[in-house]
Amino acid sequence: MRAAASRLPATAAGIVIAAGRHGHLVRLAGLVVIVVAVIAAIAFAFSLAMRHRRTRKQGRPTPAGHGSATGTARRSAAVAVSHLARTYQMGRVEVRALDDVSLEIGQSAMVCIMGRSGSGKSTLLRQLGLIDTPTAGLVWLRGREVTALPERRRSDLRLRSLGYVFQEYALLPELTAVENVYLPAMMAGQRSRRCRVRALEVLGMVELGHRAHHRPRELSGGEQQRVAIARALINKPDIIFADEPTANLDSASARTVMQTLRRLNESLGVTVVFVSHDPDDARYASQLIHLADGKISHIEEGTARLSEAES
Amino acid sequence: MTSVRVCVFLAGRSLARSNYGIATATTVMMLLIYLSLLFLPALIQGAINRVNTQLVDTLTSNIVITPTGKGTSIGEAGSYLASIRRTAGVAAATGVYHVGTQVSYGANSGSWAVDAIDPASYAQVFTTPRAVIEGRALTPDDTGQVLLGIGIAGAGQTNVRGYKASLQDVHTGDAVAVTLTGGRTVRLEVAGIYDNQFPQSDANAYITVSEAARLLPVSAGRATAVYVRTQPGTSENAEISRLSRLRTGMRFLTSADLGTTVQDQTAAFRLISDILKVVSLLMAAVTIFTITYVDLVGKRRQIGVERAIGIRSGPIVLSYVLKAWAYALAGVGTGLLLFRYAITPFVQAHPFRFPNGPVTLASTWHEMSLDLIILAVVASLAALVPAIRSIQIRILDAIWGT
Repeated sequence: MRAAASRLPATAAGIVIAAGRHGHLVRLAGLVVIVVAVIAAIAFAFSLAMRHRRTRKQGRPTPAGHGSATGTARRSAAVAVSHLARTYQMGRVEVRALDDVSLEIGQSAMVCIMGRSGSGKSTLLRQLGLIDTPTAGLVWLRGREVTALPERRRSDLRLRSLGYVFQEYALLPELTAVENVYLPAMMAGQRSRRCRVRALEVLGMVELGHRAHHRPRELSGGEQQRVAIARALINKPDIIFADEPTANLDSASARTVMQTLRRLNESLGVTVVFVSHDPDDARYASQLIHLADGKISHIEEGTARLSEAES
Repeated sequence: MTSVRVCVFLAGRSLARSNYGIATATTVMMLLIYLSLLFLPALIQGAINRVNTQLVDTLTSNIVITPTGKGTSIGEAGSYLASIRRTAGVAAATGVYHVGTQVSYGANSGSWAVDAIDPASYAQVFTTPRAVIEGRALTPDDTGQVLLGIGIAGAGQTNVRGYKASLQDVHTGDAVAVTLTGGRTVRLEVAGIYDNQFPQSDANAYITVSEAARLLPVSAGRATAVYVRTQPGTSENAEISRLSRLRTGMRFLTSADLGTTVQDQTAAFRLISDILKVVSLLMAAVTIFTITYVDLVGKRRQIGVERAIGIRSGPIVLSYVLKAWAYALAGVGTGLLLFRYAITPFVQAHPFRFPNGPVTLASTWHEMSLDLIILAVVASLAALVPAIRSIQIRILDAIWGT
């Protein structure tokens, strides 16, 4: 018996699906799509609500008046912060990781942020690197206030203007060294061939050209960290942030990593801000910022040069 | 465009270098879901097709012509049939005259239709003469002979549906009493017994038109109904339009108009088929959701790192959707080939034995591709939900795994 060519309207969420010969299937498909879409919408709304709640708890960053960073200094600084505070909610306890921190870091500087464990040095680096949002205070990058930028703009800045090196290498395990390096370049819109050439060039700068096609698990800790540095460099950033880049390395690898950072700072003029509690690493810095209990205790001018550090 | 390149790059590398065991298991899971999505509905469609074919082949043909108004039969049936047969789109036509209402054998009797047919033209329209299981079909010269359906004769086959209501043990050569429409009862010898495996058409008895003219002279040259078999591909409505020009005062019905009982059955089948489809789609959605969710839980830190180095959320989410698509399409593609070129031919060769006869799988490329698209959409949506959820958490929470 042939199916009657009737048109059966199915109305749901304002959509009318006209069902013809295959009305059952079309209606069924419509129904499934709508059900899954509704579930997705509920999940999306739920996560938005959760995020809103979390944001309210943490508080939005607020201007904290004039700090030590003057307008001129901010404009000339690679990165500057003013009255920066960051509070974490740990259960019912509020932990103040950063408390009224103001500083400017000049262009082409090599700065080491030092302090004991829990002093707030990694928290400060994350605020500077736009990976986290401060509870109060302002952040400037090359004279531009970037504290409350939407995530899309912050992501764009992280991609094009900043490089970030994590303590635990943080390479993508499914990609080879060269792929890990050229991924940000690809995201920045460069052509594939150009990305690959540039990635190999940057890997050469960190003396890992011969390991370009190895996966992270086939590289030593020091090599992985240098691949991470190469990845941070690929888009020619203004500033590289490194969070305890030598923490998980043996002394020889640590020295190689620090020498690489220092050489890049000197040869490319890229500003390097790194966190460390190792005095050996501090020798490579031109400026030392000491943190204690979330505040800057003192700032020390370093005099080290690569040759001195190497010696 | 950049986002597409990045998402294809991430998904491609992840697929190429992922755990092959998990990838294979996921693909096989999707394959099984797709097969379950196709198999039972195709079997049900096969059963529906079988019922529809039996309806046309044994009971209604394509078009049934009956007189309208007070007339109970069509006069000058011979010339009318001749003009019908000459009409374009008509493959065959036959007239039937309803001559009796009751058949008895010993102490058993029942009300069944007894029709007078022209065996030659009847065999061109219906398949009943080819479904004889005992004795033989009628020939035009037969007199004093009757062809009984298994639903009337019973033939001692206790497993036949409606056996208790039948004459139960009538066989070829037995004499049965047929009560004609005028009330007269005649004894006729059973020429044969047929079994269409279709209860609605197995409860009929047939005698030849020459015998009917002898027993019931009023039936000579007349027909209660004319059955028309159209040529394949002919539109029934167009054919009715052509046939209606031949003679006025006629009513034209199609098999769809007459098979309301069967339509109810097929509607019930279709409903079951739809329910099974929804269940299969939900299974697919849950499978993809679970796989993507577990994958994302394991890669939360990786996603945090990707976002920290400036990869936008869009390409990250899309890469997971793309992976889900790849698994779905691999499973579904394999399932499609398996179903079309292995399972369907196998069932064609070894059909399922349903109560109404052999049933094969019936599905079209259109239906299969529609199922494929639906499954791909369900897979994308199921992957989208956990992927969106995972990129909404803070970068630091993702990296720290909090």
